[in-house]
Amino acid sequence: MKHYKISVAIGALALASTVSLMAQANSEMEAKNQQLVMNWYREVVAYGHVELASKYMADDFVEHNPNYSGGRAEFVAHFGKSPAQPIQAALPMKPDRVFTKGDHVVIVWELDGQEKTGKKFKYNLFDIIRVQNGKVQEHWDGDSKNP
Amino acid sequence: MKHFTKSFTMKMLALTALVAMAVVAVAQMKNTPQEQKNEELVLNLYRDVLGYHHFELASKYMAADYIQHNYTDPQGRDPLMDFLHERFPNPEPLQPEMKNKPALVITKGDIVLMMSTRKVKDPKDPSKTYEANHFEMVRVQNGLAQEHWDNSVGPAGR
Repeated sequence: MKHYKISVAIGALALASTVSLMAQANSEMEAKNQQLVMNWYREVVAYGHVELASKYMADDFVEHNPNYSGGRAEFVAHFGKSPAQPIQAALPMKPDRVFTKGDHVVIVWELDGQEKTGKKFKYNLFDIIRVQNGKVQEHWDGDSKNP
Repeated sequence: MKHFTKSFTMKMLALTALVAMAVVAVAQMKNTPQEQKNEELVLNLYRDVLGYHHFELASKYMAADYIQHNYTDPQGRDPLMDFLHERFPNPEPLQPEMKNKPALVITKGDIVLMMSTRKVKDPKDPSKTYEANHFEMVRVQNGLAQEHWDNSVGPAGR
């Protein structure tokens, strides 16, 4: 019986090390950065509460999306176009994957697409956010400029 | 007093060094040795196989059961290599540098993400250009590229 417990413990350890190999754990700072970015994304981007921009975003925030590139003012102007929605505890759409390396937080999305022929497919979008001094400092995605 | 000053100075020096280290750690998180291996594998795959079209080297870098999330590309390593070989029949000489070096590489555990930036004509004013980003993401397993995602397909693609 004791031996069984030991082998369970070893099994749990082996499992834990396998998991850590597969998904490298966040450091304390990375966990903080990821939490900041996901709260910012949920409250300001997804539910449109641009009045919270200064809580999350640096004064000299840099946006690389070609449709609203510039600073925080351009960002607020863009996301303030549509009315804010009540903030929910969860995002309207769950990301496929979120990971954080140092000051960079990556959000990977999986979306449904459809060809003109009606053929359905899945595709991915990516967001990278850089955190600096506890604020969202810079954002990149893969958007093309609207015609 | 001297002792106090000295020890105070030493403490301040030590504190400054600690703060400086913390700032560096925040600004740039270093790869673990395993992450460094994963990153090099993926960058070399993109350099040799996908960049200079040396499809004969694919088994060195990619698992046979390579999982493809770009729905226009085939599943599995060999079908993908056949598909690419048809499009790019002539390999270029291998170079130490990548053909299109990514602007940013982020490796976390078994995931390697590359972002490359290119100049694109502005659809509103063809005399102007803007910067568009392309993403490639690879999961490494047992020392080989196992799974791939990109943003080539969909509204932001091609």
